[in-house]
Amino acid sequence: MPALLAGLVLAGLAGLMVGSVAVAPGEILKRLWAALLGQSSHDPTDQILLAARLPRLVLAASVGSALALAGLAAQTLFRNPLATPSIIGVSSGSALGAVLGLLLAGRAGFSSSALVPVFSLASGLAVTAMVFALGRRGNFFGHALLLAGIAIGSLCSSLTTAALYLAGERLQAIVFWLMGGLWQANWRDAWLMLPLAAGSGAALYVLAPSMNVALVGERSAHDLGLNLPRLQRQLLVIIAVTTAVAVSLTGVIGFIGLVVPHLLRLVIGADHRRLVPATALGGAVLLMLADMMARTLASPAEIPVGILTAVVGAPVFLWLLNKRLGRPAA
Amino acid sequence: MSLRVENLSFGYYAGHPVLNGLNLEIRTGQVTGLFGPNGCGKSTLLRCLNGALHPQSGAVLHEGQRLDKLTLREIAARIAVVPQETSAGVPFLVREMVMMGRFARWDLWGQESPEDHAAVHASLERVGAADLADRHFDELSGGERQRVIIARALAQETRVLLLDEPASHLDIAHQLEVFHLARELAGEGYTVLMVCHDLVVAPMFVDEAVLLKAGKVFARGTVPQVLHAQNLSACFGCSLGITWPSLGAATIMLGK
Repeated sequence: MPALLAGLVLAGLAGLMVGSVAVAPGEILKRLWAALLGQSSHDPTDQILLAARLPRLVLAASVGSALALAGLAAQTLFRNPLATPSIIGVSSGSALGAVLGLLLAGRAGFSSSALVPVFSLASGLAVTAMVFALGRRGNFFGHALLLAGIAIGSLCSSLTTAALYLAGERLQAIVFWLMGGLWQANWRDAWLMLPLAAGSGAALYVLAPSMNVALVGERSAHDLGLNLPRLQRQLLVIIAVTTAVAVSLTGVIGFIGLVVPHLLRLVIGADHRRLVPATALGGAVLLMLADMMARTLASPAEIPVGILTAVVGAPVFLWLLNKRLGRPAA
Repeated sequence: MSLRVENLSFGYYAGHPVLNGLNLEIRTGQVTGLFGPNGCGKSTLLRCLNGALHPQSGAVLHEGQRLDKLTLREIAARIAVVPQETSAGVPFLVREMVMMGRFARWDLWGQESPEDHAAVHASLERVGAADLADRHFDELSGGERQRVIIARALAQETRVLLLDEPASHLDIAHQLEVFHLARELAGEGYTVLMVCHDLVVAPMFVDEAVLLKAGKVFARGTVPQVLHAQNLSACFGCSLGITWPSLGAATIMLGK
C-alpha cells in the first residue's frame, strides 16, 4: 500500500512535468501551492499546469480508479476472475449511446461535448437495467444475468458497428472516441468523476467484509449470515453507474478493470479490505502513466489511451503471472 | 431442547414434497446422526434448519424462537454449518477464512476487533490447526480444509453445529478426526447434528440416530435400535444385514 501511494504521487508529479513544455518538479510544487492559496500568476506555465495538465491528471486518476473498482466488483459479483463490467453490457451500451450522440451532433450541429456524455450515460444505464430485468427472472445472478448481458452487449456492439458503417465523414472521430482517451479533459469532467470514484471506493470498502464472504460461494455466504442477493444488487448499481459515467466521459478504456484487481490479488491476496484501496490506487496509477504516454509518445499527436493501458499493464501482469506460476507446489 | 422441527413440509417443486410434515427434536450436548437413502431429504432438512430454505409449512425453532422471524445474521449467530466441501477459488489465507465466521457479528462499519482475532485464534487452536493460519486455504489437504471450516463454524460462537456429511471426501484417518471432534464438541455443550452417508464408521460417534424415509422420520433412538437390518432394508430398498459389536465399527452384509 505505501508503494502504491508513492506510485500515485510520483505518477502525478511525472504527469504534470512531462509534455510539450517541461516543468521542473520544484516549480510544480511551488505553483500548486500558490494556486491552493489563491495566488496563481496566470502566466502560460500556470495555464498549462492548472487548466490543462492538472484536470486531465485528476480525470485520469479517477477514471482509472473507477474502472479498476468496477472490475473488482464485477469479479466478486460473478465469482469469476475474468469478469469485467462489459459482461453486464454496460460498456457496450454506453459506447452505443456515445456513437449515436456523435452522429446526431454531426447531423444537427450540436456540440458533441454535451450530447455524447448524456447519450452515453443514459444508454449505459438503460442497457444495464434491461439486462438486470431479464437476468433476474432466471436463477438470480446465475447464468441468466450473464447470458442476458452477453446477448444485449453483442446487440449493442453490432448496432455500434452499423452506426460506424453509416458514419461517413464522422468515422474517424467516432473510432477515435471508441478507443478511449482523455484529450477532452476539463475541470467539469474531473469534478464529476473524482467524487464518483471516491464514493464507489468508499462504498466498496464498507462492503469489503461482505464481498469476502460472497466469494466463498452462495451456500457458505448464506450460512455465515450474508444477504447475498442484496449485496449483488448493490454491486451491480456501483458497477453500472461508475462504468457508464466513466465511458461517457472518456470512451471505452479496456484492460484496467480486468487486470488491476487481478494483479493486486496476486501480490496482496484476496481480502477485500486490502484489495479495495489497493485497486483504487492501482487503477489511478496505471491510467495516469498510460495517459502520460498517450499524450507524449507521438506528440503532438495523441495515441488512444486504451491501446496504452494494455501496453503498460500486460507486461507487468505477465511477469507477475509467470512468477506466480513458477513457484513450486502453488 | 435446542432445535425443534414442527410439522415441516418443503418441496423444490409444487406437488413434489421432499420433506412431508416432519417432526423432530434435536437435543443439546449430544451428536444426532441423520441417516437415510439419497433423496430422502437429509440435506434439505439441514438447509431448512438454518433458514437457507424456507419451508412451505411448519416451522423450525431454536430455543423457542422461530427461525423465519430472525434475520440471516441473527441465525448465523445461533447456528453454524459445516458443508461437505469448501474451496475458496481465490487466494484467501486460513485465518481470513476463519475470520469470516465473525461476519454475522459485524455491523456496517464493523471491523476486526481484538476479540475477533482472539476467537479466530482460539477456534484454530481448538481444531489443532493453529499452525495453518498463514497458509493459503486452497493449498491445504482435504482433511486440513475440513478442520479449518469447522474452526470457522466455531468462530461463529454458536451453540448449534450442523454438519453435512462432513467426512464424505476424507480418508479413514481424517474421517475419524472429524468425528472425534464432533463428539468432543457435543461433550462441551454444543448441539451437533450430522448428516451421515456411511453406515459403518459414523454410527460409532452418534448418540442418537434418526432415520429418514420419504421426507418423514422413519425411526429414531440409539444406533442399534434404529439402524438394524429390517429398518435399513425398508429405507434403502435393498436387503441388508448388519451387526453391532459392543465396541468398534459395524459389519454390513449384503442380503440375497
